[in-house]
Amino acid sequence: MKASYLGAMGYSQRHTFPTTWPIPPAYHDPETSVRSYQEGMDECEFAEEMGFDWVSFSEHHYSGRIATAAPAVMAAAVAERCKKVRIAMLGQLLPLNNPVRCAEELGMLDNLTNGRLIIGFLRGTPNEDQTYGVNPAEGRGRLFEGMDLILKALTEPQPFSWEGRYHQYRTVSVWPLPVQQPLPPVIVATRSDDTVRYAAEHQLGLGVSFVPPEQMAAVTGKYFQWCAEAGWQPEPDQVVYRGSIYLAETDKQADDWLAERTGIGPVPGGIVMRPNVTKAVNASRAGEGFDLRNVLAGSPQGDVVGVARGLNFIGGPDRVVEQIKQFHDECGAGVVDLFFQQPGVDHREVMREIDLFGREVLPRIREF
Amino acid sequence: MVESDSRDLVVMLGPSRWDDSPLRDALAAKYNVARMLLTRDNLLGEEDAPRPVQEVAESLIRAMDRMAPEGKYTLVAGSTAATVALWLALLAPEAVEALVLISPVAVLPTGNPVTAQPDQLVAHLENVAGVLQLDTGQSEALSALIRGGVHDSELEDRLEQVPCATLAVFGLSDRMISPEAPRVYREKIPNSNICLIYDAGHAIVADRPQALIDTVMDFVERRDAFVVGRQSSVINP
Repeated sequence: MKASYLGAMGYSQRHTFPTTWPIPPAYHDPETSVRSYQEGMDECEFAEEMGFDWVSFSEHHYSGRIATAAPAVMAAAVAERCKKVRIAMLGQLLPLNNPVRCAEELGMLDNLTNGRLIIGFLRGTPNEDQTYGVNPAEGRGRLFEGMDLILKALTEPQPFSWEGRYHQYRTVSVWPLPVQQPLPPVIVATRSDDTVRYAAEHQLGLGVSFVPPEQMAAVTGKYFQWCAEAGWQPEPDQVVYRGSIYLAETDKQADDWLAERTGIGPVPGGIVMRPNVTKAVNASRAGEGFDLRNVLAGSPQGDVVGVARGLNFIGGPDRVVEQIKQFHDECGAGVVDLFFQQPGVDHREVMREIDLFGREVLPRIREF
Repeated sequence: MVESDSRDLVVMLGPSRWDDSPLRDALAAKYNVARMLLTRDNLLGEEDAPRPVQEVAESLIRAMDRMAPEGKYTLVAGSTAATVALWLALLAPEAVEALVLISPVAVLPTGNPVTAQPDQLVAHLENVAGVLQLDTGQSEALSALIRGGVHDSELEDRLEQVPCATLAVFGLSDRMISPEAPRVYREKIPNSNICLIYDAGHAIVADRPQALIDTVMDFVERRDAFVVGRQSSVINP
């Protein structure tokens, strides 16, 4: 099994943020922000040193909790520091973005890293539909078209026009194409049947975030079945689980840490937006089987441990190894992508956890 | 004879009369549209042997000369008729001013075998009703075209000589055309564009009629300059 470090680049004073989204820019202090990014990159560099296989980046907006609104920019900066790990873009929010621009960024990143890129496709959380004014009801359609367009743009050697439902381009001719041919590994992050089926039918990997193992197993069970029906079998690296972690020297220390924080932090249940905004987003997505649990995945409050379900791995090394093993054994996960920047956990503490994970956990999960 | 009309002439070529095609309706609203029908009679020779496509094209050129002497036109052809259309463009460069190929199967590599089964022609089964229906004579003509071979190696060798602006339109979910085929048109035809219609099968007109109409209409009007955007992005002027 492999481990990935999620480079969240959280603003170090994020514990002062209000519980609502978006976080007003008034909370931004330039000096703190610059230091936070430097510390975040130090964490990525140290994760590589301690043996992590991937460093990942995820697009999130209007909040300093995961401060990578432009993940390609972050990935490029970290790739200059980290020369061995794979750079995993997990990923760009396709409903929000120009897919051709995404393809260009991915092509550049694979060249800049000399073939170390891993691509991830994401729909994003409901709040983020607001970022660029996308109609939430169109998110799924924009995701599917975006995936098709990016895959075509990254593999097509001749210029073409694209007449889509959401995108129209009369000239697409992406330069540079990826170093990895025909494509870098691609992970589709989803729990939705139609998107899981898309991944299986296109021989793409699958990413699942923040759910307990029994829920992930239900998703990967379908995925493996549909892959078999499509005539192929995924490699272990093609099944990724993203989860939040707090790792201490002992189980007791970790439990005590959590106990101190229980009841602290934002209201349980997901992203806190203004009530009418939440209703509008949910209504817009209602026809698509909206599930409030979705908002935990990568949400601005995904790093909130005031509610235990926001934390997937907690304990000393032995317990965390077992927790990770469960995702391997029951879900077929071959890569675990870990979010360390819990609220109230400062840079020094994250570095301690990375060190401990590299010494006590990583060697053991490699044996799975 | 093509009816006298000051509007530009668009000739639609195929085994189908395009009667039920919304593309024909859209073109007819703006252009003088003529139909050039491929029939069993002009596709088959003695003992029902398929005639060489080049020969078929030559006979059509003669027919067009009679119908519209010195006429210049944009030629629109679909699927198996694309081979004939390309020969027309090569043999009558003074007449064919622009060429639109819809789901052409004129070059290798092809995808799955060419078929007329409607459910194989659409990306979504619910769109089957939009597939152009062929009568017996049209079906025989299509069969003759297929029997003659959809791949013409001599034509493929001469694609670089196609002189006119050419648009080749493909459904991204076309099961009859290999995903590698569209680029061959772009590589070989000097002044060409390929357009991929998302979420459409071989019968693009059935799956995404408006997308096809908008693309073809824009190209017929502006030829290769259709790559220049002209949709306003102003929200509140």
